[in-house]
Amino acid sequence: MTSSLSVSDQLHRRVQETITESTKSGGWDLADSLFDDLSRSLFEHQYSSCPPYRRFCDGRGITPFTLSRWEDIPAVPTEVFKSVDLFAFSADEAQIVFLTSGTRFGNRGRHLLRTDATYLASLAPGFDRFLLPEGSEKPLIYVLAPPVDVDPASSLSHMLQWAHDQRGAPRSRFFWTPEGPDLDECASALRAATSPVLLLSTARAIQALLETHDGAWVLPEGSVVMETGGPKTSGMKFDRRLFHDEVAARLGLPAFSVVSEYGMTELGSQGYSPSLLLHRGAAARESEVSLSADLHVFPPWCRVRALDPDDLTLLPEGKRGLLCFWDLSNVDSVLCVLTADEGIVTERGVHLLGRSSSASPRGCSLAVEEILGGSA
Amino acid sequence: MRLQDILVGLQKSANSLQERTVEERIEALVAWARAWVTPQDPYRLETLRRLPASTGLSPEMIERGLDVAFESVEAHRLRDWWQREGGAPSSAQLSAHILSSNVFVAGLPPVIGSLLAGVPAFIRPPSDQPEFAEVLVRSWNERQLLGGSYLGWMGWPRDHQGKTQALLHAADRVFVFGGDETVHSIRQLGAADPDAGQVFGFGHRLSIGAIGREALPSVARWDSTFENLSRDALSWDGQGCLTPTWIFVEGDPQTAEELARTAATFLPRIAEELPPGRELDPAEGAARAAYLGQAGFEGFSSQGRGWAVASFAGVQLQPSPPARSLIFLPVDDLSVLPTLLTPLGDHLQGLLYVGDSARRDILEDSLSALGLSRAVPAGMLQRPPIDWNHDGVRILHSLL
Repeated sequence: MTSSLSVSDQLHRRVQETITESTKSGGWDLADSLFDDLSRSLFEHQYSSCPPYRRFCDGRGITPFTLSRWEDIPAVPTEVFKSVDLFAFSADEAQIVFLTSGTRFGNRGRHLLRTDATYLASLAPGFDRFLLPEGSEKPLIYVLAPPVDVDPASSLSHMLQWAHDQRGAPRSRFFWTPEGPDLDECASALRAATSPVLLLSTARAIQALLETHDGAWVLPEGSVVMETGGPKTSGMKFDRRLFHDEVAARLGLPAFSVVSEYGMTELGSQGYSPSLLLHRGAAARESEVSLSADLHVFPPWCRVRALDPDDLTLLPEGKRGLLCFWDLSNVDSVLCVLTADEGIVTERGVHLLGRSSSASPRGCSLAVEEILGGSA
Repeated sequence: MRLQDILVGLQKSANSLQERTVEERIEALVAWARAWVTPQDPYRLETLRRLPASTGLSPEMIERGLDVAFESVEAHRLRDWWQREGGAPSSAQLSAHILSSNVFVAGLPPVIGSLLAGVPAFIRPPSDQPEFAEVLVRSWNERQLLGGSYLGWMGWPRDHQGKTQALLHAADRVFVFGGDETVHSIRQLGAADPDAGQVFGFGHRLSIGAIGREALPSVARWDSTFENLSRDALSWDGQGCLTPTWIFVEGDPQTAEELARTAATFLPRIAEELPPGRELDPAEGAARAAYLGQAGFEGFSSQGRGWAVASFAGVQLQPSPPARSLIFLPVDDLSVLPTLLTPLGDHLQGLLYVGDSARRDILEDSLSALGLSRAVPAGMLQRPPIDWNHDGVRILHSLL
């Protein structure tokens, strides 16, 4: 284990250095060769130190010795995190255990981190780039989600706690009670705000806030709203652009000030819609800003491709498919994660199309779940 | 034309059909079936042209379905069927056939049985897939086989209960294909009308495969067996009640994995022979990837366009395997299957068996309490004969 730990430590350091290097001086880029090199090293570590993953890769005929390109690293579907321990270290060394919120089959996916250093190093640049206006004072951060001490297994709570602690001005706070989001308090605080606010929340909690409190707010100029988790967790029909327009109108903000975040327990990195960033850019057109609600940009150390649902082969840019992530911040788990989310990958980012729930036609063949219960 | 007019017309034609001898009816049925398997038959061509869009099945699959269904309509088989279950004039004047989606020939045997018994038949296809019923009826009536129009059809949405009630009232026998809920609702409608015809239900079911340990030593000579397993799995895009959901292997997990790995080398070619009629949507693709991903951690999995294969280290009945897949599950002894599958109730339909026929017979007996009505070698499961009685219904006998 000592040698594997030292390999892990070295990889953590390399990934953190890569993150620093690729975001230096406002940069947002990582050379293909560097990504390829580091992803190979991570794959080798994960293959050799995570026996279930090694078996999975062997079954697909792909090992660190036969890997020809990083896109061929075997992808693990997110569902598998519910039943298989995917970490390249001993479980008792885990500093953090993230659990998924999904309860569809009664069990939750686990993502164990031996150290949160790389997770935090990966988190900060995206948060700063897409949510914090350049050169501004620390905003007042209001969080409409549980803090870490309430939900220590939630990766979202970890992220929001970090934002509150590290990026928030004094008097930043969580609006959460044992019963759930404290909508009344949050509404009062937003109405009373006199300096720019950064409201961080799930889409569902914002929706609840708007539904339970009539009228319009006018938040101080420079305020920003970040929503996350809309269609994925609620299963509702979700038009993100309309949602952003509604949030902006009700809170007295320009549309570009509503930003969407995409993250998941199984990934260390997050993506953001770039409306605020585009608005800052002189060349940005208003139409581009408004179209960006469904567009998410991921950091250079997290690459995304759409896969053909029929055979999981890579699709060319512009084609709709299942989103697959190669995230270098997943040092000690698996770096290649296949989601059930649909999207279109373009040069500019990833257009998230949510998750459909169509059922396969079965003719007169019986689904086992129809008899035994469960989800057919 | 109004439904009532069609039903009355069919009832009136019953006497002239009954006047024909059984041999004449057999001769007409065989001629009709032969036409359907003739490549240039206009009704066959029309079916091949029209059904892919509504069923989502490929033309190759539809062609195979037609061939399998009509090739089994042979004179000797119909005679045997009549001798076994028929032999007496029918008192019925009209049979009704309420069909379900996609496996469009599943409801054909009771229609054939009805004509064999001298009973005109009315077909109510699923409202979104009326094409096959329409063409089938025309193919008989326009030819004026046995000198009459003994088939009729009309489609309507499920919630138009008035029409369904009228059909149940007019028919002497009613054959219903569909999910348990559909069958139950038709039975309830029938029960509310003392004059309604007797209802026979054919619900949704599943099939399995089993490989006996006695067959494993010769696995190296199994090329045709793997091809047949693949055809059984891919036929009807996995939507038939005769699709093997799992293949139980009497051996250890390594053996199951070896079989899965070998099957992976045959499936791509059979998938080209029986291509899927449509692409998976992302939700189906994600569910399939999750299932196969899980298998990849426990045993082995592989996939391609239109096929998938997996093995697990033990028995895993949930979630349901993806369509068009072969799933190998190891068991120490096949004698555990009746207990293992008891939770499925009486929903078992067919068994494909690779191994000695004597052991197949024993397994068939032990699974009959779970509803099993058919045990055959690999490659035969999806080729049921026209006189196959299933779901506890003796089709021809029920028409008398």
